[in-house]
Amino acid sequence: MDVIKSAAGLIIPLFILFVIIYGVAKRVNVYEAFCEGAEEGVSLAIKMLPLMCAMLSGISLFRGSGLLEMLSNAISRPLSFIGIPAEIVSLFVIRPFSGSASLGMLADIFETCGVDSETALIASVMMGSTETTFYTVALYFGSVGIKKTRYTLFAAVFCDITSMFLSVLAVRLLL
Amino acid sequence: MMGIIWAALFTAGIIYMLFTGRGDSVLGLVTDGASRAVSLSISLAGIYCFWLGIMNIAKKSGLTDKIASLTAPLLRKLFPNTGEAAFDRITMNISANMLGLSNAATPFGLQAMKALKEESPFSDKASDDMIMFLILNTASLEIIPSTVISLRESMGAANPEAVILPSLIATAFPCMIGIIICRVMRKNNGRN
Repeated sequence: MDVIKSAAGLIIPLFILFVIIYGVAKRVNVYEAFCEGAEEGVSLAIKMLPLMCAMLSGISLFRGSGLLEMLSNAISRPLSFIGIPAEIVSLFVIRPFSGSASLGMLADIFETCGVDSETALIASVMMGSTETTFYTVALYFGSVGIKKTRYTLFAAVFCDITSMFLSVLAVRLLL
Repeated sequence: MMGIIWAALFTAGIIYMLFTGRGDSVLGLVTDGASRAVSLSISLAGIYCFWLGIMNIAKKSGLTDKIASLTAPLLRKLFPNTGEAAFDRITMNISANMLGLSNAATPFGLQAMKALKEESPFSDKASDDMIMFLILNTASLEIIPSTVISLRESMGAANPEAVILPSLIATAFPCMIGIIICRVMRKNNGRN
């Protein structure tokens, strides 16, 4: 297990190191290549700002108004009857909207339920197995001007719901 | 669909705020989100520039081709008709995601979308390839969910990496289901 823990922390620095050394070995002007690639990041950032603005202003409003809480409370009642904790439902509701908000909620769950509690484990598994769906959809499709997403959201939300149920199952069966 | 969600967010939020007599807080909340968008874009811009720089080194040295050739055979089954340019970026995006390098993956993902857009016969509708690609991304195929593990460790968990195996299960199955849904919808709609 210690191996895995150190592996997680080492992947990124080792990867960067490897890329640079490999590049030098292949006689690439790494500094020049880096700057050339980095240039593309600028236009990307400019494209991103309006999209982020759209998502974050809406989410901030929705969350600050208290509607988000109402929505998750409404959903968590019926779901608690099949054994899904209310905190998981709240996390599930916010997960597709905002990565930072969901990380915050995860930390919150760790604090209130204890980081080794079953709820915390389920929440951790769910965080690791899902993405910020709406944000990703908005960003990716928005960047190329696609407005009609067809069956994307149906498939994505279906996957997220399955992830939630599987997180509960996996933790209860394996841990 | 995205438009409806976005409109609903604002409509519901504003109406509820007005209803509960907090209309004057609306602008504050919205501004809060908007300014967070700016700081987020700026910090993400820095990170993207960094990863795009690194990845360009990898590209120039032929490393990306090597990495892509590992995941390509499997991915080809999902993207049988996609052109080389788009497929290369898709491969890099998925590979980076799997290694937990999500910040590196996103620029590739955006470039992949651009390339897919060029191949697509639609101007403002998502093509089947785009949707399949999006689903692969939102299913979050991380072999090691490093962010969650780091958070658990920082909060003193007894066994931070215990979540790895359950996460793999909870991410692999929905991913497969997503792929199946995409294939079925693709068949029903005819090619692309």
